[in-house]
Amino acid sequence: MAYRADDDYDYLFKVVLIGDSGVGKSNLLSRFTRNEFSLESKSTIGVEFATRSIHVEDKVVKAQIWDTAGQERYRAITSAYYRGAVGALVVYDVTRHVTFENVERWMRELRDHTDANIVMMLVGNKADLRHLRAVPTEDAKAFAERQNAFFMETSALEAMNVEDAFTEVLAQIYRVVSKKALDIGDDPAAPPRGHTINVGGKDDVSAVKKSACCSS
Amino acid sequence: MTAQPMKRAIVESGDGGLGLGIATFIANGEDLGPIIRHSFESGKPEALMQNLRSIVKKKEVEIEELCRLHYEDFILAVDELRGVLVDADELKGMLYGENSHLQEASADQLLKLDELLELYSVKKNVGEAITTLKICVEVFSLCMTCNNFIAEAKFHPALKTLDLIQKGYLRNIPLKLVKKVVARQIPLIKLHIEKKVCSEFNDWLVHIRRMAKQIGQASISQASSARQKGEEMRARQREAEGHSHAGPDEHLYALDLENTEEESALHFDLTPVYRAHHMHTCLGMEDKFRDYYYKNRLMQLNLDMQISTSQPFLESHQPFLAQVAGFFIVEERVLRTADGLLLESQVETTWETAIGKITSILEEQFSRMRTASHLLLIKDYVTLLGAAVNKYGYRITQLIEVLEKSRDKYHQLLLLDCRKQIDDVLTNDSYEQMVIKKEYEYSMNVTAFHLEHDDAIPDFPYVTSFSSSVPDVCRIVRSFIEDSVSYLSYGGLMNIYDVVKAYLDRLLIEVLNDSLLNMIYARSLGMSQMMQLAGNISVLEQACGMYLLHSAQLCGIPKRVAERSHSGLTARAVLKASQNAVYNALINLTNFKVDEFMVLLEEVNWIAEEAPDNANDYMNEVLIYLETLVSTAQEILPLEALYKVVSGAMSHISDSIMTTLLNDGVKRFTVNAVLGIDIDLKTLEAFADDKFDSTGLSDLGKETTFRDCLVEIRQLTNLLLSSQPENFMNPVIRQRNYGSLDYKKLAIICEKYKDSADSLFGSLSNRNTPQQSARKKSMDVLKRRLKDFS
Repeated sequence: MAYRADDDYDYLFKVVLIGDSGVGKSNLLSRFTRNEFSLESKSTIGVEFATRSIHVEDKVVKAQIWDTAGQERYRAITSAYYRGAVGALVVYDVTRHVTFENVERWMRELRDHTDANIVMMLVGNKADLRHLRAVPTEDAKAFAERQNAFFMETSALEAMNVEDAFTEVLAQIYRVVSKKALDIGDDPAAPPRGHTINVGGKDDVSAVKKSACCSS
Repeated sequence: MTAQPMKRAIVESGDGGLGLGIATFIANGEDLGPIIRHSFESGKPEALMQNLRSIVKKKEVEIEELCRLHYEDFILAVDELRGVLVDADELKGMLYGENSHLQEASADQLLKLDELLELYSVKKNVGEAITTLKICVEVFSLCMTCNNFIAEAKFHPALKTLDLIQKGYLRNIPLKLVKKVVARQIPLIKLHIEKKVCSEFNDWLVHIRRMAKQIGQASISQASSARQKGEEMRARQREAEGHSHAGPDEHLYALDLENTEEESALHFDLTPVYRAHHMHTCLGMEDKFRDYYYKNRLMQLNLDMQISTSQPFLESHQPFLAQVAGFFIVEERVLRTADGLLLESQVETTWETAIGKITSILEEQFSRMRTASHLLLIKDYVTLLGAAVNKYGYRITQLIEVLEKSRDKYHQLLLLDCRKQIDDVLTNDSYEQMVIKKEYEYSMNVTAFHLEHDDAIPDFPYVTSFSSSVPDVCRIVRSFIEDSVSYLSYGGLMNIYDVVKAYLDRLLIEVLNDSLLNMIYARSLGMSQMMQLAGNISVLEQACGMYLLHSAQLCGIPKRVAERSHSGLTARAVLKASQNAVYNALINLTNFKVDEFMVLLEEVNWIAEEAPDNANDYMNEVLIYLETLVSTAQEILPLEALYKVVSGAMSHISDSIMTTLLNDGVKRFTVNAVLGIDIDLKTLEAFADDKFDSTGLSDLGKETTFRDCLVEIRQLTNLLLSSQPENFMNPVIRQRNYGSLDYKKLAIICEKYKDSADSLFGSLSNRNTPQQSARKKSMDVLKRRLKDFS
């Protein structure tokens, strides 16, 4: 394969990390982008973001991942934070039930500020602490299904499922974007391009989500 | 020895003597130093020198003699030596020849010798290599053994092997590279073992957290079974006491074989804990593991202590408490068996924290509960939890205290519930005597509460002295007693009987008595219903004895002891007071009814021209009513109450007539009207005498009869009809015949008394008799004298 410059990419996707304070959002980010984990429990101040490029179906997809503080006092950045996001990881801590209970609020806020087609994944982090589990996997999976979101349990400490979670979200975003590109083909203003594949519109997004296997 | 020769030298004076001494010294080989030094120090060395030269000469002569003697032998020896030299030269030639010959013959052998030496060198090197390799083989063998142990997860022998390698071989490994590799791998392997052991331990943590609920439930089930057996034993004892008249009861001495069975031990596996602890000890990391164990178990407990918010506490409390119980049962086992992994102070501190949290949760939940049975349900489970963990040495004082604090709340809810039930029962009662047609009805409503004095089954249909609310109330009270005992049992109290009695008193006084009083004052009951209510109260007051016995029985107090006890329920006196209240209500109700009939007094013709032949209408009505009243009351009320009611009615009638005569409604009345009143009174008095006898009241020895209640109006009538009314002024006659009459009242009434002769047309009448004239005069005298008094 020919050598590519670092900044050379086919798609740039903004993905946001949201969830309560202390659930491990920053470590998920650092594990995915730099393969690092920090045992220090320093709170994120404001917003941080990092990027990493991966390959999805012969395309170079660059992920711009935004990490935020979970505390209330940083809520002022909400609109700017969410603007342009096409994917989201809603993170909770499997050892603290209250963080799972707050997921619904995070998802509601996400929907209020983003496009309806946003790809959403519920992430149960700290799954390595099996002896301290407070949120059963089945409960979270059922909740994700009701919310039409993907679901995975991860461990940033053990690097378990972290890569898979991000790549899955990015792949799904790519599929949605590809569907949108096909939708543009139906525009009467566009020049005709041979046979047009008939697509059902936005409902396909749900179909794509439902068909995907996202068990932990 | 040296000193002595010096003395001899000094003592001997001649040269010969000195020379002999020196010669002896020389012959003996002794040291001449001191002698020579002495000679020179004394300043006379010449003598010594001469002696020495003399000795030299003698010696030279001896030597020459010796040489002369051995000269011949010397010459012979030289000749002989010369001969040997010639022989040696010959031998030397022979050797050279032999050597050349040998060299020639041994050239091949020499080459072989070189090869042999080379091989010895190789052998030595190979030997060293073999020795080195042997060490390496042993090390590698141990490494393989260690690997196998690790592959089979046998970490302890793996560690032993690792230790052996490290201490026994590492220093001696000759190959530096191998040594370096092995040295580097040892800590890595130890780290691997630690991770594996930790992983296994974490699996155990997951497992034991899931198991804790089952362990707790099993332990609590055991406590529940033990309690059930205790209950069965006590029930048997109660039965035995009930048949004490039959003689000594075998049950009291029966050995309960079930109790001898050992309770099945709770089975859970702590092997991974022991392994992990032991492995960390071998790794020299015992403190680290101890800390890890304590911290992670504490975190697990904190998770378990978060009660579910999605589920009501009533549903979630059992798994919650069982989980906590299981946790601490496991910790107690670990404390006892894991050889210092946990400290007793750690377990106690954790338990104190946990029980503090449980008590605060319970207090909060109890404060929000609105149903007594919910409180009881949770209390039962909490006491079972206490019994379960107490068996493992945990103190449960705080649990007992929180239950005692909620005791009033529980009973408050019970009382609230009972109030609703009792109000419903009293409101819906028809207040008619129950007609019981079947034996089971009698058993359910009468025998169950000992509401009749004898236990014999009567003929059916049977009419009770109480209405249906009485057995219903008894059922409510009995349930209250049972619910109260249920809550107080297995708490901190040893003797709960006094507490149960106190709450029972509250129920009977604050709830039952209040409801009864409400019924009394609500003015919603008719006469017969009020009488039935009075009868009911009487029965309920008697039932207090039954309540006490039932309470004592449930509290485990023998019947004989309870019967002999002098302290009763305060409620009994309160109910008796309510009986008086209902009697007063009956009297008021009766008088109210009587007033309805006494209104007819207004229709009496107070200025009738002729005496009536029959009683007035009002009196007929009153008598009909009183007849009904007495016949009903006689069946329901006690005689005392019956007496009070009828006496009250009689007094009221008397007062009513007096009041009517005193009021402005009556301005004048004639002797004929008085004659009518007299007929009324005679009729009423006949009724009174008849009832006083027929009801059995005369047998009670009452000093005041029903007739006596009418004395005032009777005396007034007698006075007005007397031929000589002025006799009232005679003290003796007044005391005897008119003692109940008041001066002022009499004056007012006499003023209204008019003879028919005074009417407008009186002068035209010719019916005046001499007797009437005489009475008129006497009345006039009385009027004047009464006026003088006022």
